[in-house]
Amino acid sequence: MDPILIIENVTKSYIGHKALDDISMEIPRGSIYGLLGPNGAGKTTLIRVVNHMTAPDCGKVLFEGHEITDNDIYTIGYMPEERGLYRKMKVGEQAVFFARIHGLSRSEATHRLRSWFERLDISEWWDKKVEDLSKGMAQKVQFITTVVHEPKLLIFDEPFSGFDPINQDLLKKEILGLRDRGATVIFSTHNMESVEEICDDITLINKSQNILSGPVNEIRRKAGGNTFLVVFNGSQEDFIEAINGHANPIGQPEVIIGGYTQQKIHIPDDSSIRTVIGSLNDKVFLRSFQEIIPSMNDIFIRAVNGTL
Amino acid sequence: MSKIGLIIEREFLERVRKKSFIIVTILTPLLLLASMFAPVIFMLLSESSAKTESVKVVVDEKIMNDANIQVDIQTFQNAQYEQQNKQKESSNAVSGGVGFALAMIIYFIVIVYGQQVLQSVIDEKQTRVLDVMITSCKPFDLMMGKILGIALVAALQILIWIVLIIIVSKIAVPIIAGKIGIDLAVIQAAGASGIAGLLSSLTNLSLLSKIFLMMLIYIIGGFLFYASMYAAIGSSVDTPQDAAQFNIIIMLPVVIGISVLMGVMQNPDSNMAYWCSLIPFTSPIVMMARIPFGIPTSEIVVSIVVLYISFMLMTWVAARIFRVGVFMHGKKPTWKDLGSWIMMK
Repeated sequence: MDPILIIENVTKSYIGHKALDDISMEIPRGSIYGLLGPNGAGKTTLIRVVNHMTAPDCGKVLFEGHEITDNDIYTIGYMPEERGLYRKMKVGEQAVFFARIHGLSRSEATHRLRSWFERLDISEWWDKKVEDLSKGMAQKVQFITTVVHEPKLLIFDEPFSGFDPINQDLLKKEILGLRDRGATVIFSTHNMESVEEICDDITLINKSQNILSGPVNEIRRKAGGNTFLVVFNGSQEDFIEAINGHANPIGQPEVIIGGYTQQKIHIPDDSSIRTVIGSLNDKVFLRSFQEIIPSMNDIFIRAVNGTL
Repeated sequence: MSKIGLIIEREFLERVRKKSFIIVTILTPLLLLASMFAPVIFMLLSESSAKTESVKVVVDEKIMNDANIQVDIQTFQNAQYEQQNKQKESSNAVSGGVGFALAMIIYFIVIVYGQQVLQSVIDEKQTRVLDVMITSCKPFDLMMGKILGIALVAALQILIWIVLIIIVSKIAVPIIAGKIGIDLAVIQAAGASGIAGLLSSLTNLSLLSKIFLMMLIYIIGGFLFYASMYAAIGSSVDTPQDAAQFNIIIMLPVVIGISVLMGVMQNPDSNMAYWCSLIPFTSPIVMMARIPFGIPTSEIVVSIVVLYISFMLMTWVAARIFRVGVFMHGKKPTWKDLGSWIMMK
């Protein structure tokens, strides 16, 4: 699929340290793209480069095939990490103001916002002042003001921070809904669960470098390294004999509840998987056979520590 | 509606809906009138001596004419000359007073509302709304929207003040005067020798309307000139404290303007007065003080043209600083930084 946004060899240095070191990535149209990385890795800087809030030292950002312009940026929905709303303004009025700044008419803005407020269950806040809202409440309002004009590209910086699990879930559903209606979503996060659940692709930035990039499913499968967990009933010797030549055991077998034995194995060649299952089935009583797919959390930690 | 229109609307509505706006708008003219009412009473007390003096002059002339006394022509002319001089002096004092008042009004408006522009930009930066705004509209639109929004607030506030002052002085003052038992005719007589009287004695209607027009032109030009400076400063700092170091660029010319003002009242045609009424940093204040003395139109036109060209230049410079400044966080910029931001492509 043609990418909506291409980041090419972007480098950005501040005095004394490099914030981004030769970062490249392509964000596929209509996908949800996760920007991961430890604190201070450069995620926010990258977002600010895309938004023209910071100029890169070199490299460029292409939007829809051309170098991104200020006018393109005005069409992007952007939710900064440090949320900002006019504190003295009423919630509804403020949301209408932002929607109109993004080109909606007053009546269209009001109409859409009413339905958004209803959906996120905050209708009764319409006439409250922002300064009277809790942090989580203000977050919801900010989210709505970011998406109400239905931008093609959305950028959220840490959208889940400050939300309780229930609202995190609500937000995930809304983000998925935005994608299903055709938007492309980029978000930075530490929340690995959300990455597994909603991201199509990710880039992991560590110490200002892109250390891992690609579709989430591929990355997880690859990080698993063709290891499988086999649970069986039978002798260890039979087991070893069955997999011999096609797979290698990893570590020691464990006896688990119900008297079953559990053993991790490594199958280097994908084409051997069927053979291994077949011969195991002949030799031992096979209870389960499953690929070990590491969680994004594991992958994150291993990638950052350089042990992936 | 265009983005700049939306920003103007927002700035305007946010301010005029505040309780503090309503309170200040209503209280200020009341306080002003109260403080003006006191001098009128004081003037009443010194009224008698002034009256006798003018009567004496009339009597003197009458005697001279009626009695047909032979007076040395030279002496008479001398006396007349002296009298003219005296009149001119007193009219100078009046012009000075009026000029000073006008200049102070301009100073007040430019500084008070200019500070609001500064505050507005800094607030927006501190609450991070700016991050959303600058990824939604052009920095120039944001800056001009703020300046014009606050200018509208100023216009509305001043309009209300003028209306209130007229209402209060036409209705409330006579009532109060009646209550405390002062003869209204006496007050008016006192008033006549006071501000209104001074004005009408030294000017005709056309000069008055000219002064009013000039006032408007200089307020608008001066405000836009200073407000864009304030906006640029606000954009480049994080806190009002950080703004203090740059405030000098605004306060210095204003202070110079005020001190030149004193000299202008003595001698409105000095070199200092002339140049300060051309330089846009001081021209709104100094020129306004000179206008009541009667300044050649050509001089005024040049001063206004310079002011308006400078305001456009200043807006351009401010917009360039603003455009970079709004993205800067956590670092206190230096003068050098500001300079390089202007040059940045």
